[in-house]
Amino acid sequence: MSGGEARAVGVGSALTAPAPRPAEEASRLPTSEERELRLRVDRSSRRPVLVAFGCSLVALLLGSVFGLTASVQMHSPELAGPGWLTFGRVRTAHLNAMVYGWASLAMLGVSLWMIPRLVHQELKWARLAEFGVWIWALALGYQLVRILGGIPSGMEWLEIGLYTGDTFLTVGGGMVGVALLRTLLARAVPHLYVSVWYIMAALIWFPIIFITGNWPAWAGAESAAVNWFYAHNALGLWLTAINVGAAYYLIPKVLGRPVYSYQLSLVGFWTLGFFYSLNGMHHVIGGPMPTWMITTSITASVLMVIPVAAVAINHHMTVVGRFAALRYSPTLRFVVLGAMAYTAVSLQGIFTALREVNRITHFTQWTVGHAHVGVYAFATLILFGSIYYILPRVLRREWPSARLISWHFWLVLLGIALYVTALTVAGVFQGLYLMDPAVPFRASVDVTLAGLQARSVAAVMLTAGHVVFAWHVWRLWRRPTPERELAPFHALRPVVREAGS
Amino acid sequence: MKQTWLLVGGALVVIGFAWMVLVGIPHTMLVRVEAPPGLEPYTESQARGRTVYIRNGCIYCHTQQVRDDAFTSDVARGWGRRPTVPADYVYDRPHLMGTMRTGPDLINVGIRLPDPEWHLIHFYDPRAVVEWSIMPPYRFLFDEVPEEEVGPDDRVVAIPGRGPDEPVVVATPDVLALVDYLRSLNRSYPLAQPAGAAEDAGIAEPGEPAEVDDRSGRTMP
Amino acid sequence: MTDRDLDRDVERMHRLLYREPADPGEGREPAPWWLWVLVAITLFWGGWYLGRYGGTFDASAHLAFAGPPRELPDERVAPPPEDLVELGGSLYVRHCQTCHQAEGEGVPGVFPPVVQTEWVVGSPDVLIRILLQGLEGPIEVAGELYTGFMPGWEALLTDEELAGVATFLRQWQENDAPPVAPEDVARVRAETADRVEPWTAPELTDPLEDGP
Ligand code: HEC
Ligand code: HEC
Repeated sequence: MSGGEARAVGVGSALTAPAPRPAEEASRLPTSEERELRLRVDRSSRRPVLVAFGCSLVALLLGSVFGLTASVQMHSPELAGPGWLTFGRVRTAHLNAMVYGWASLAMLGVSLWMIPRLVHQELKWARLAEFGVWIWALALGYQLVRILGGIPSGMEWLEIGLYTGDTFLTVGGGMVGVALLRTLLARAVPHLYVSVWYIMAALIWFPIIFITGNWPAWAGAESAAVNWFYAHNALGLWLTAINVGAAYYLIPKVLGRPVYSYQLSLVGFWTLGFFYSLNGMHHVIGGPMPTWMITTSITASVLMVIPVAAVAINHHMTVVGRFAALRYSPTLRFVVLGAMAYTAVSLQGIFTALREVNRITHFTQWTVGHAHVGVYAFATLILFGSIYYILPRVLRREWPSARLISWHFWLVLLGIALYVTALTVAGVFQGLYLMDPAVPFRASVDVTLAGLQARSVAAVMLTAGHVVFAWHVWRLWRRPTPERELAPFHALRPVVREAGS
Repeated sequence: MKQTWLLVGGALVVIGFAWMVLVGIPHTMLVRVEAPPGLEPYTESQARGRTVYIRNGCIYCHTQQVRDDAFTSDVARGWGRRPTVPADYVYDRPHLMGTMRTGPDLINVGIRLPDPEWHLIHFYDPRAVVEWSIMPPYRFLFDEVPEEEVGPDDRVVAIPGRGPDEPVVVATPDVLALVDYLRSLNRSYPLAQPAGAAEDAGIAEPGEPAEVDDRSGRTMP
Repeated sequence: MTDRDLDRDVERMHRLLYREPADPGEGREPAPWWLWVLVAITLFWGGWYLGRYGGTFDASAHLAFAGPPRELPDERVAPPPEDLVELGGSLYVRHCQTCHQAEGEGVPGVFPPVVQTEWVVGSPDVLIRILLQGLEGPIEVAGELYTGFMPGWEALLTDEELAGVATFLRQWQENDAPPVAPEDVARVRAETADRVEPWTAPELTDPLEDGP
């Protein structure tokens, strides 16, 4: 036990890197006022953050089981089962559990913790935020049941029922947003750090696109346009924005250095908002949509190279010279890999948006692989890293086991690598076969089978990784905490100051 | 950045612009698209079939769009006689254009597979008619009834390879509506051709007659 | 609890915070010069691309690559095989196999076989009619009764292609009947130009005396 425990002490994330730090870097030890502020701030956001992370983990486990089921059914269709287990519904339950359950709830948790930290102010209206998270989570749970009973609405990413689901998600998310905005307005720092821009902008953007996407007025080709306007922005302005914001905080924070360049942060942020929001119609290239819309989106997709390069340089230059730190900090390991995946998925997306490429990869498993580089290798890894950083702080105790973190890391890393490779290769062949009218359709089905089976193996690995993670969180939660029996915090202040000096 | 209003205002401007470009302005254009004369609204039964299609997530494996034949093989593959255009979808609410072709495109399946019997067998057991299929069976859309209890109005489906002493397979109204819907999928009617549209669009070479490929209906709004 | 114990606990409790560096600030490095070059190039490209492929500012679809000169060579249409049988074979896989099955054996009671049936190897005109406008209602094939719905291919397949399918069928496996020429298809297509609905079996056997 001793070895594991001893190392475990160091894994709470913020590492003490052995490398010597240049004096001008922001790596000085915190003063006791700062420490006190952090404790106060973390305590204010504790409940909503814990609720959000707890619910998101339940959704992660459910979503993994749905994903695994759908994956197996795809190459072994005879395992179909009754109606509520049919492929179309299970797959949809998987997507919704992962996007609106796992990712979105975890992102709400990250935002609720990070914004107060960044503006040096306790979370205002924390009760409201907590209530909002509950509404979101419960409404989503009900929607998953509804989806398995028969998908109510027919558009991808918008399957959640309008009145029984969307309304509640909007209200719940809105309550979190309002609490955070209130906190922001009460800020105690003059300057808004770049993570604040991303997170607050995402909280403004999301309700706008969500309501637009779900507005029941659209029909025909227009509903397709709105569908993709929404679905792409759900990735770009919601998942991407918050996770890039989290990476912008965690990478320099763990390393104890400033982020490389303010100028790059500015360029990256505003061009991301401007170009990403115009990308949607590259999902209907060649389809029945006004040409100018598709061309606009292709152009905007290619211009995404600007924010992607800016963010990539900024993150990379912040880490450079300190890559060894990845060994010590699980947070850094997950977040830096996630940030790299962000660059990769964006470049892949730009490539896929070109007409010449899209005519082959559109409608194939390539797209599924691409989506998982985005939502998994990028967003989910960063969320794992964030949770590794945040949970010990709000719970005020260390992760119990370094070994479990290691298992989690390698299972999901190898799992997602296999997943993406398998589907990308399968997708390219599928696309090439579909593009050649002389090749019978059957060939395009047969050629994907090996990839689909490999994907099921990957799904098992990912699910196992999630179980390990959830188990570890459970152990952290159950861990005895000495401070519970301690006197109220203010009584301890003098001691803290002594120890810090 | 130091000002909150700059951040909030900037974020609103950014999304507002994109909203205008991809939602607002297209709305003014697309609401004016009219149904071509050859396109019928869905009947009650077809509309019901459409909801069965949605509820069971057929959309995750099947598309309903024929892409531009200038750079894809959708037409050459026989999935339609021309690329589909926005006008083909005016009665679709919501659209079911789809994003995945695990199975073939279905927007013209009514032309290819008009036989209801084929569809019924295929839904009950896709591999009975297409041995290499990976489409899931939809047995829950059928009832299994002992032979004696079959009513006069029941639609019995003759599933190949079923023994005589097994209960017979009876199609539910849901699956019959679904078949009705699939059989109605046909976007092969010609599109009205506004005179001179090709020149207006600036695509025909000057001096050449506005010779428009009527299969594609390219210049159709 | 002694004071020392308390101290130790407090220390443990604050370990995370001791170890945690101050909040990150923002560095003042300038963006690398080549980023600005990249920005300039992509913006320029974007303007050109929008202008070139923007189409018209209305609801028209599929404008980008239309009109001469074609942007892409017409590689999508594989040159039709010279050989009618080969052409017909690939068309059979694409259009007929879903119902008549890979070996032409059909599905008992639902889809008739196309091997060793009088309809295929009999009068070419009848076969061409079936292929052009389709077939509906009861029909006896190889001694069994079928009442299905066979689609017509009039609009989808050319004379050459239909001749290919017909010839392929007539010479497939044990079938052995003379080929069908594209001109025959063209002639029957002209004769049946007014016919929209599918044929029925009696129609094809009665008036055409040379039927099966
Ligand atoms: C797991 C993916 C999947 C799902 C879900 C699925 N299909 Fe299919 N479908 C296929 C595949 C693969 C084929 C091609 C093989 C075949 O004909 O069975 C196909 C073929 C078809 C065909 C024949 C098309 C042709 O041109 O031969 C029809 C019609 C069809 N599906 C309708 C449906 C309907 C309706 C649903 C929903 C109830 C559905 N499919 C759900 C995969 C799927
Ligand atoms: C939707 C399923 C379907 C497809 C696709 C289909 N057929 Fe048929 N075919 C049928 C049915 C059903 C009948 C019997 C019609 C009846 O009962 O009146 C039939 C009858 C025939 C017959 C006459 C009876 C016999 O078996 O000799 C021929 C010949 C034939 N089909 C050839 C073809 C060819 C060639 C193609 C492809 C170009 C094709 N069919 C595609 C369903 C289909």
